[in-house]
Amino acid sequence: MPILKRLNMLLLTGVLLVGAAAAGTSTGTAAEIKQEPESKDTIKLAMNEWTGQHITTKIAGEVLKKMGYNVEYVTAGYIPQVQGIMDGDITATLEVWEHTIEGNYDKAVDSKKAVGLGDTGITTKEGWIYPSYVKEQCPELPDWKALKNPDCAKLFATADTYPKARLIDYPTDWAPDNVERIKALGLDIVAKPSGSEGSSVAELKSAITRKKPVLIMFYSPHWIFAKYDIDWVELPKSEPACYDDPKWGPNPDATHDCGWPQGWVRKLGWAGTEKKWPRAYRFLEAYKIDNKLQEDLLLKIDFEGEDLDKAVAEWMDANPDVWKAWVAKADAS
Amino acid sequence: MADVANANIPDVSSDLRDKLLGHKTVLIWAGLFALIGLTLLIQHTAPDTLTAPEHALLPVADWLNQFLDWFAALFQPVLRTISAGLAFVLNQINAILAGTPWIVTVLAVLVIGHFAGGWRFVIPSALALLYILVTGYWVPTMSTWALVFVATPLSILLGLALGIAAFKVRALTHPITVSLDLMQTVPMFAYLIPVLILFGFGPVPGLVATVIYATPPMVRNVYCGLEKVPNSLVESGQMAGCSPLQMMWSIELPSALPSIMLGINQTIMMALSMVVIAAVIGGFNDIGWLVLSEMRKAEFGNCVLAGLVVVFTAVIMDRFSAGIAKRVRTPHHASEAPLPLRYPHLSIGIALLVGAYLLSLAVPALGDYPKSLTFHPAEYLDDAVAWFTSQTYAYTDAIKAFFLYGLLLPLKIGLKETVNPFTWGFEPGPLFFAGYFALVAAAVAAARYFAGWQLALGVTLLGLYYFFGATELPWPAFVATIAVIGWQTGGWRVASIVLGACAFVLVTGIWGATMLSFYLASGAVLVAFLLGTALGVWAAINDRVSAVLRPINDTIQTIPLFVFLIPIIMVFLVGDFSGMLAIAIYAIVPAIRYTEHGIRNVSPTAREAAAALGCSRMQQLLQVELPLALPDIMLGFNQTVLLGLAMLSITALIGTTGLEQLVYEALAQADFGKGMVAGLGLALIAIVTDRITRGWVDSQRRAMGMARRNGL
Repeated sequence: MPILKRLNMLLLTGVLLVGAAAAGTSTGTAAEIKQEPESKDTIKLAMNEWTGQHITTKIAGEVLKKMGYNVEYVTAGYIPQVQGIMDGDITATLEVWEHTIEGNYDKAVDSKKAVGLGDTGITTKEGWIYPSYVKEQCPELPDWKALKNPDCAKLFATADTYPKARLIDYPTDWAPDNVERIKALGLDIVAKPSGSEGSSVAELKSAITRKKPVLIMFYSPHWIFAKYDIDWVELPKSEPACYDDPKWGPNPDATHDCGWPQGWVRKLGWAGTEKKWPRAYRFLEAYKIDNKLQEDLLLKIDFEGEDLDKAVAEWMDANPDVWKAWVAKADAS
Repeated sequence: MADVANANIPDVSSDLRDKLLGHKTVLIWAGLFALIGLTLLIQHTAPDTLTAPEHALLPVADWLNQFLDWFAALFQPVLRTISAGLAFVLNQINAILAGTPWIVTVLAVLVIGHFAGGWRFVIPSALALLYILVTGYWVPTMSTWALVFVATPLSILLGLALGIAAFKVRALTHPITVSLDLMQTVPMFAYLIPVLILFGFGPVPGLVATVIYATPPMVRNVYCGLEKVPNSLVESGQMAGCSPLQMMWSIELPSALPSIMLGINQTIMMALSMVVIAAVIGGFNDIGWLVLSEMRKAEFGNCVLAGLVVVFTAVIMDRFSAGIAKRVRTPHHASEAPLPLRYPHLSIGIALLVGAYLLSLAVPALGDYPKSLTFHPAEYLDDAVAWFTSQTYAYTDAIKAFFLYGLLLPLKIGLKETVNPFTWGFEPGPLFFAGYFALVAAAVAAARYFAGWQLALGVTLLGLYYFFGATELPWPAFVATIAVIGWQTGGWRVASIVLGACAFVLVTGIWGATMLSFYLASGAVLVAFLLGTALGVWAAINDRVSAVLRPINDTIQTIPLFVFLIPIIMVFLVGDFSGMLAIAIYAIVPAIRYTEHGIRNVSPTAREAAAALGCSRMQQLLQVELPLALPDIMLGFNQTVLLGLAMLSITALIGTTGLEQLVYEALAQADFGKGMVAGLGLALIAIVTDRITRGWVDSQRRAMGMARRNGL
């Protein structure tokens, strides 16, 4: 985690430097940022169900507005939006996570009705989490081998999994592969899908209120890491060989005996975007944020209760260099 | 008088006894128990008995997907045009609703409320609307209203057309009945994907799905109303030389109006209930979307606040449409007064609205509700819930554990697997199991002694079910049991429906998931039915209880399915117990209502006869009223199952397993075939239960010499 954070700081500094440089070299001024749009039609950006995505989308949308476009935010289910993009009912969606709807992403791009717009810039981490206080009862944590110890596994047991531990898995529609990993790692864990992210968070909140152990499949960036003391179970580090070569890893007879690889997060757009709004298309391609930006705003919105619009507007006012650099990059390409 | 009752009651039991003790019956039941015993013995050596043999699987889901591809290629252009038209209408209505100054909309609702039910409607409505304004949900609420205002007329028109067609063209009656059953029992999540592909992204697919779900009650009520038109009326129409069209418009439909109005009321409620679920697709900034996304984020405070908007909307629409229906039914005398006085609501309403509109031009705060005046107490609610759960979790956990270890787990994996030190606190020995079977045997004997063979057989099967569990039962035993029950209640026709349904579930490879759904649904229905019947009996003999229960029942039935889940998962978290609780609460209403109705409608002659024979109140209830009300109670059971399954499909959102989770998963993978197969599995559970119960009720009614129930 600290390494990741430092990396993010570096990245951010990099972005700022590039931004400053870009702003310096091009004679970019506010006047040039706003131009006559190629089409007055509304650019529709998909708003999914989690706050991080709202931040990513809202910033892009507000910049597009400053560039002179008409922008609308359309609420859209995570899967249904792909159909909307292929039909042009939605112009773009800015956070498609690998490991979740990767299949739909590929299908959409293959159909030539949608185009990939490159990386969103955030890096994700997925894995098993537990409240830090569980370490008192099971000191071998965070090493995954701790879960091989029946006494530790029993801590996480519930009535219908006893004596095995219970893992609250992703909702099934996020296509988790924990069953395979648990088997490959030889652990006595039963994976139970939670039904929705809210249910997972509810389980976590409730366990923390009662100081009970709980094991949950989760992802970052997410506000829970800012609010609670949470640790990741350290699984064997993911490498491509883990998935191809059974011999790799702790279990010589199985693949998937490791943690998750860092997944990509990409932008996906309607194929007709480039022709209709060339400048907006280049902007959406150039648009790239990072974890720090999202986490800072996440904290403000989900934790301190600030309004999304207000938080984004404040950020825009405080960081003109950053977003002007995206526009400059788009105009330069 | 006594003769009538005496002639009735003994007839029932003797008829049944004859039927049950028939040679064939005994042989078939004996064969069934032999089969159950055999399969239980060999199940560990023959794994094919637990899940369907894999080589017999058919790729039904793939076929369905191929069909959809073909269908979409053919009809997509037409449907997309229709979709564009619907989207246009919807957006216009939404724009009008959102653009109208709120003060005008509020006053319009209040005037309609006064028309529908006087001041006692106006004041609660005003409070509800004030709530929507103050919490800042006005704009998304208007979007939801727009959806309902477009979906309901479409459902009403479609329902009228189908109802008339089913009534007039006999060849269509049966196909329409089957379609209605499917429309009401296949969960909406299963057909959202094809609707999305055919109609494109946006609010329209949700609208179409809502129309599909909300139409059946309209069809059924139209059909029922037309069927009740007195023959004399039809004949006089014929004598007057009416053409078929004239007959329909000026005689049959007006005469069926009460039923039609009831259908409209139900359609509105269904539409509202589904509009929230259809929001899964998105594309429209409505309340459903807000409820859904807050729930997914576990933001319960926000979720409850938005959910209350749906509840208030539902109550307003329900009471208003019922009130207007009542007014329509009471005939008006043509008045000689000048026009404005003849329609006081209309004229005063217009004057009020114009005045309010002009006022809103002068005072902008009356047009757009100012944000500074909103109050959003989500945080306080969250804190309150956190406090409540931290204070009460010892009790809530105990309740949860009781039901989980005592009911749900045994039904799922069997008592033999459930009992261990973690759950029941000890390791079960042979003595424990012997004790269990002795208990079951005693219960069977008691059932046989007090109520006859039917109940004794039922108790035996329940005892086996509780011991072995749904997921551990060999499928041949399960299929044979349901088929024999079907045969016993409805003859070969119902038995063949059962076998067909089971065959579908087996060859499509969803047997395991079906058993998981069956276990949860049966556990919840059992609780709802037992508790509901008890409450119904109490309400029937005590007017005060009845008066207390009625508004509670009304409220439970008006709250959209989905909103139910929120408080439950706040307290009990995800899992099967929360699912069971949601299902049981939602499905308990018909059990209460039908039981009360059945007992209250027992013919007074039978009651007097019992009193004359010197029965105590208790004897009278147990030996006369309950047996006579049994057909009604069983119809309530039927409804309990149907509502329970409707709720079951929503519980996928709180992590139940089974078919409902498959449907939800398929929705996420945009896999129509998979979702439809699982959805049909759920529909088949409902249909099989329905046919068995109706078969039983009909045979009972025949035995009692009552007429068969009509209707679709």
